[in-house]
Amino acid sequence: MKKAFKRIIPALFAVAAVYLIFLGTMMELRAHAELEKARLSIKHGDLDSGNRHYFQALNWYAPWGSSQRAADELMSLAKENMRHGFKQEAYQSLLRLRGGLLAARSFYVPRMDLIESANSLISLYLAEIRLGPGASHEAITARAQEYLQLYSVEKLPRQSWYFFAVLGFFLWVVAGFWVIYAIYGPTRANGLRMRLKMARIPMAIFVYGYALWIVGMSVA
Amino acid sequence: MKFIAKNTITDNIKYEYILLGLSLFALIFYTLCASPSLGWRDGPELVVTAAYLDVAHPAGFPSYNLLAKILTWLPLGSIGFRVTLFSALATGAAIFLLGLLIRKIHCLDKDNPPSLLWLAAGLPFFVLHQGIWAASVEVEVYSLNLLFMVGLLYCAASWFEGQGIIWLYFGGFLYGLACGNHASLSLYLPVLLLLTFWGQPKTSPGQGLSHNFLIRLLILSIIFIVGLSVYLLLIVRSGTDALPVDFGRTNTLTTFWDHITDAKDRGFHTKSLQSIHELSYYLGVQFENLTSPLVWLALPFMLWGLRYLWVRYQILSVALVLLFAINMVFFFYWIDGVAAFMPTILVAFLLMSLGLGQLGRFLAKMAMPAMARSLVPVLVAVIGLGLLGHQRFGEQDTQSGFWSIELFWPDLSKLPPESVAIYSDIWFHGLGLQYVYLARPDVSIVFLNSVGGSKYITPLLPGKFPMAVFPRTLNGEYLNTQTGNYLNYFLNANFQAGKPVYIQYTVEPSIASIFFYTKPDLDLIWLGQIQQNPATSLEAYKAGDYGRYLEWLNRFMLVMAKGDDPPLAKKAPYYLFIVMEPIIRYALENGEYVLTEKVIQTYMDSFKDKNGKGLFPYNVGLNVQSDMVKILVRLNRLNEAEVAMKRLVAMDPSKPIGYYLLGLIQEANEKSTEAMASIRTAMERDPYDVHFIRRYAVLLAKYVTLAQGVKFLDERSWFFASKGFTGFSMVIDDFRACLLTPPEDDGNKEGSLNAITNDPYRSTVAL
Repeated sequence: MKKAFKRIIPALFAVAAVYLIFLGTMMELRAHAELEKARLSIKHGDLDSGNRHYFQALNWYAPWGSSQRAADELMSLAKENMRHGFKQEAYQSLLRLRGGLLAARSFYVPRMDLIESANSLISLYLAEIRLGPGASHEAITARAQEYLQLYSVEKLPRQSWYFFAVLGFFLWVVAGFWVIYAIYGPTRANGLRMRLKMARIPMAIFVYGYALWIVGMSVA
Repeated sequence: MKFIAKNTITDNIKYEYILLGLSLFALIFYTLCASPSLGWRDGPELVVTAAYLDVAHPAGFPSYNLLAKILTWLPLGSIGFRVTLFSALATGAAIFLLGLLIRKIHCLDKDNPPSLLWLAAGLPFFVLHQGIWAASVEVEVYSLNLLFMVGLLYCAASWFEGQGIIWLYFGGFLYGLACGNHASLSLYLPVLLLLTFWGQPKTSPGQGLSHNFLIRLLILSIIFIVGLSVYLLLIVRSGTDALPVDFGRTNTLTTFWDHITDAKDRGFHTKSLQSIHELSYYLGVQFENLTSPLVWLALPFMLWGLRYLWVRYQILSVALVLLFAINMVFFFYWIDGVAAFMPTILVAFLLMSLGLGQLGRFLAKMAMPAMARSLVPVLVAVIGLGLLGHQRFGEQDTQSGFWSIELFWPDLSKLPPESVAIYSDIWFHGLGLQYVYLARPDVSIVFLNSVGGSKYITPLLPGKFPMAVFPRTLNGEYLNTQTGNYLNYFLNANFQAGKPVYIQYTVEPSIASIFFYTKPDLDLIWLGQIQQNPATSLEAYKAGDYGRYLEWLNRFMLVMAKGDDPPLAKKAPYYLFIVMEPIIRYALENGEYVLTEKVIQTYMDSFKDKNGKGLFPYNVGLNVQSDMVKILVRLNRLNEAEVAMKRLVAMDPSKPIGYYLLGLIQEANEKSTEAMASIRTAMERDPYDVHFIRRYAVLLAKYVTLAQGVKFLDERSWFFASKGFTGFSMVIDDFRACLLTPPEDDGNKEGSLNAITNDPYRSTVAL
């Protein structure tokens, strides 16, 4: 068994490596294709389609390559529209940019610089729309601040506690199998007392993992 | 005794490499087809519950959420795509383990194992099976279910093989965790018990602790309950604040029990068994599903495999048949949800593999060159790939790219600030947009639905700005309940504070009426003020892949029409029409007539009873028929257009405009007498419509004499003048002047056709 494991584990790592290379390549190719479509749509003056394809390029997010370029280009597009007074169009681009990047968050939020810029511009636009053309500059600024606070909230709070919850779950599941193995597995020890003694470590891990799981879920 | 018994091929590493290669192939194939965003049906909900470790719909799926959560940290792609990848990974792992299981079962017959190639020959059939593929490319719990089931069977086979009681307890622990993925697995308890207590190992464990029956049962139960304790997630998480999805509010024992036993749909699974009529219907449909040539091709091998197992290991064969039967009965209604039949597919495939192994043994006895003997199983695998390759997976993409998000994004993004958006069936998509994409934090989403989870879901995704507080703890029916009263208060308060309230797609009109009865003493001003969302999803489709969308919709309809679950099946025509409607509008504006006709025809054919009567709501029927007329006119198939228009008129003979439009089609089709008769009928039903009068005058002038036309207009002018309608009289006089001014510019065919396709009819029958 151990021999078989020793042989299969390097092969498993090789499979994982091949798959990750494939996945990274696929993401980049798809992001690149969407980016090209977005550029073409913008060239033909179809802003909606351009926004959509930029957004889909962000869906194939990777910390490198075309998806990063898509994020930068979408922000430039929004700023360009804003400069020319097309605020509604700019707002649509900014929402797509913000949504696309936030949907790609993991243990970190990608491109926070762009998200923060987008949030400021979105907040200002929403405040102007909400208060109407007659509103004072102060009122708009105050309302924009309120929107900014709302849009700045990152809605996956306390990721670390999620991590502890999952880690705890993983620990108690593995330890659960280990306890069974320790007690009923192919050991030379005879008698329940001896086997339970051997299972002390996995049992401790089990209890620790279970507690971590419960606490993690309660706090996250 | 050794932990794993040695036999002739156990240590042959080549087999593991073959399995790894096949798993990698499957994983890559599934990844290429994987849904990129939120998916459909339960997909958006499961993405959110995995990302936030929440409580999903019954029975909660805690094991799934905890395991899929790991993938949400992968820094590649969107969260939705990562959760889909988890399905692909689970199936990839299941394929590897399945290969080991096949070898294990074959090696129970230690004296005469088949060659390695024969063991792997059937796996491509499994990889490319439609159900396996569908479960692996979408966000669903079924692929993890498959992995758990294969794991359980592996433990059972190991125990049966006599490798020690450890495998029995491994199986018990795994079974607890597996039930935490999908509670339906608990139904297979008889199978596990059968294997555990009647399936005594052929050889004695020879090591470890041996127990008698009762102690073994006690230990197994404790281990199972430890695994099952994964359901604690529901209780713990439901008690935390600001949970995006808290389906059923499972923080009390009663709600927790209702949730894990699926009280919402408890009677559903046995419903078909209570009616002979329904039973026979579903039996017929299930039988139809079996008529695939592949099933018949595989059947002899399945039977051969079953016989092999029966002769050597009766209990194992009975257990597999029992597993098959339980799955078929429990999911009898799921006539289009292939993924629900994973256990059935798994058993069928296992038996087929055993049959192929038997074929290998049979051929081994024949005098043939070794090379040829090796080529036969490779040939079988290639045939399997070829036969299944014709399924054209790309076209059967049930996820349809980004449509699941693009249908809803434009609407949500275009809502004014601080809006309240009312959602119904597609509430899960609202959830996905608000919590995965964080699309509009300033917008509150209210969930209204008379069926489904209304009783179990807090009906508000709160934004910051609503002017009334809705208690998070509240869920339940709307009618005459506290929940209904709060909702009423909530919406009224927002209206009075000047917040815009919008209805999104698929909110049933009947839902609105519920509020009339909820709290009559409240001022229900809001009801008349709710607006349909002004934004349309169409803008997203103007980029060119619109035709593909329609084709997908067409296929989706065919699947929906078969009926999945009764509440949804009943609502399917309405739901689909609402999704289809804006697309048809766009199609008509952009000349996509042929494809649109196909979609509408499929819609009408799909949803009709035995007598050919449409099963869609009345207004939907009118709109669909009206669309069909316009398309046929645009395609210049005027005879068919006339028939379709007559059908439309028959649906509502009281509407004069129907006769008018029929007259226009008949006029364009050079049927002067019929055209005049139709427009005359329209005038009889509404003598005050000046369009009818003008058209009739034109027809008289064109087909009888100009003098007749003028005389008719004089009569109508006098009629209006005598009634005191001088304005009408003046309009008629203008017509008269036009009619007398050559050349006639109003009676041409193109003018008539435009009148039809500009759609005065639809405006009178709008939903």
